[in-house]
Amino acid sequence: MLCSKCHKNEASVYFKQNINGEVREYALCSQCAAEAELGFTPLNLFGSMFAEARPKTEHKRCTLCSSTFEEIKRKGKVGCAECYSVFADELGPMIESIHRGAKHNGRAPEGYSEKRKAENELETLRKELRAAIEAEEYERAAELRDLIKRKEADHG
Amino acid sequence: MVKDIDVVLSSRIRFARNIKDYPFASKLDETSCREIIEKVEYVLSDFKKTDFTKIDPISAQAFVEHHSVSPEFAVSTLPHALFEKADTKVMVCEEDHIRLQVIKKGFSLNEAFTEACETDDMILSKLRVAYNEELGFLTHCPTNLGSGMRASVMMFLPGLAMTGELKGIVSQLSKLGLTIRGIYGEGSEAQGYLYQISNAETMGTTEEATISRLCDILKQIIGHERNARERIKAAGIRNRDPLCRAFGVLKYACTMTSREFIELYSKARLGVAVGIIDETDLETLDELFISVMPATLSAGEKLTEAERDMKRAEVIKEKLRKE
Repeated sequence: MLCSKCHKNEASVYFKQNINGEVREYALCSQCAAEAELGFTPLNLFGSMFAEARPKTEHKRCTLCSSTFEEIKRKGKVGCAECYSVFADELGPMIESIHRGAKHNGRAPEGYSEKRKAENELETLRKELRAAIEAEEYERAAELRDLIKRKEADHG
Repeated sequence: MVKDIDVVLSSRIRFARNIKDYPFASKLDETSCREIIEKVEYVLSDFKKTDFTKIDPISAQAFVEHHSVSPEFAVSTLPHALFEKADTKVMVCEEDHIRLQVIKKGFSLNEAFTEACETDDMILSKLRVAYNEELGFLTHCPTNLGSGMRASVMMFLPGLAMTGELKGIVSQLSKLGLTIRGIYGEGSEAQGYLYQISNAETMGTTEEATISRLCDILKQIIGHERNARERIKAAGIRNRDPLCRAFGVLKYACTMTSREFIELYSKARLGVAVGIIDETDLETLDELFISVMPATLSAGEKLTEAERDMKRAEVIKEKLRKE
């Protein structure tokens, strides 16, 4: 049986993968099996997701880890945190498709989390303000408006 | 009493974090790995450190069997270290610089999350972690972007597997954004009816919301599993007999392969869970499971396969007869 990846050499490594009940069987030659890195990402499933994305500049390299987009595409993994900015245009569509366009909404390092907390608080106050106006509670609305102004000034 | 241990063996929360200004794992050199380990050691000064470059492959494999580290971590060739404190295990220089995980017995995802956050807060306040407002925590693999969190449970589902209901559940789970796998990544029923279920999505919702959604779904699965077991038990002696026989063999066999052990363990576990076998309890069986895995069983000794199978039977006998 020929290797299911390179279709050139005789396959010597066989394995089954079952994720979500979907069973895939692989037969690889020793060379392709070694490239697949321990078999835990047997075939680069991301390759297909990257297929549509094309680097705008062929020889662009990451300033920190010197990865090229070709390399990221081949490995299905990013070289360093900086790559996410350097290749933002190229990676964007793929990240969007994996995470269905969602934005981060979870934990954050200090500083970021305070900023996010302040923003959430402001959003709640704005909602309360709209509700107060609709309910014609103008005194309460005026209080809320002043509070929002003060908080906005605090956080620049 | 451990919560829902008849169906849920353990609960795990994992966070993936990377330190700013260092390339990700596949681009790291030895010096950078050592620097990263040093930085983490400074933050987790009261954790027990194990330098994996200094231990032999069998000891490393024993950590895998205890679920303290991943199989990939155990065989990594660059400097890598494990930091442990109670149920919290921190792998440094795995696929991400920091893989923090908390594993607890039974159905206790919320407790595991609270503990994981305690250590994560220490890391986030003392180290500069790669993060961006839109993408969240920046990780080696783009699938982990966002919270970098995986919440998972190890479930024992013989009832659903035997009654054939599991297939329907598996296909629904993936539609709900969850992943189900067999115990060591392969999903075969022969592996003791043990399944790992985890969240697949890391972006868009808070960690708490992800966990609570997962818990809601798991509670339903737990209910279905218990119903299926009752039906199996009610079907009479034909179903009860193999469970009791399995326990008998475990107690008296003189040699046993790990494959045979897993098969008998799962039958005996079901027998204990439905109250047919009362000579032992579920926690004892689960402890036994880890203690007879090949590397843990060898405990540094060089044993042939036959010797290991005999030692395995010895350990099982001792543990079960003590009860």
